Amino acid sequence: MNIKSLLKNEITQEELLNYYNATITYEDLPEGVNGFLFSYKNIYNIFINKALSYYMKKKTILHELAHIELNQLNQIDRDMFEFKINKYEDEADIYLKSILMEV
Amino acid sequence: MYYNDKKEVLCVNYIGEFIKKYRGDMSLRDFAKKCDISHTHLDSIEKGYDPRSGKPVRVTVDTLKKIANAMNMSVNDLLIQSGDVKIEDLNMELPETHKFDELEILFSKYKDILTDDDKETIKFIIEKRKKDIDKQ
Repeated sequence: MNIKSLLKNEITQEELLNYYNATITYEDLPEGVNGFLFSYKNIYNIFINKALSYYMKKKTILHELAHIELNQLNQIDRDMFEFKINKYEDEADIYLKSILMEV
Repeated sequence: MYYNDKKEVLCVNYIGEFIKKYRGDMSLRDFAKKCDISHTHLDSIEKGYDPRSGKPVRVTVDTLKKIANAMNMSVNDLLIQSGDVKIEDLNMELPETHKFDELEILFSKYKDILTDDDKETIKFIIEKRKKDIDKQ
């Protein structure tokens, strides 16, 4: 159960969120901030800017889910992945891209 | 991390790796200029040793301040976030923002557009959510 299976329509977004123990909240966020993630008491809390278009919301959710999935990778997987990253904050996007190429 | 010719780990240079990661695509010279230190010194700090002599690099507090400043963070943050110093070693309370890695990244990512009010809004949203979770 992962983003790849979600993108392949094998599972629903709800199922993946349950699997990761993640919730999505739509909020009025400062302009320019699409979304963010923080974990608290083993719950991943995804916040999405409710002013975004439907497409951007979906894209941002995928971006935040990528952060969760990256968090859960074991160290060996992470080390393999690290070399692809130039900048800290782009890792979720790069991870998503690599999944999209496989799907 | 760097190794000797037997591939044994000689030293884990967290701070150097952290700075290098932060620098990303920016050139050594450009980032060194931003820090107001020489690019050769920055190179040594990132590597953890002086490439010419092979000796471990020593960094002054003044240089650390300059680098932290260029990264828009305090020296404490630089040491903690790089993993060189554990927060418990500093014997201080964990600041709110350190509890969520993502928030730190978020604030630094949007440092040019987020006002202090925006940051407060985000912190407020997080606190609210935490209280909701506590109630559950």
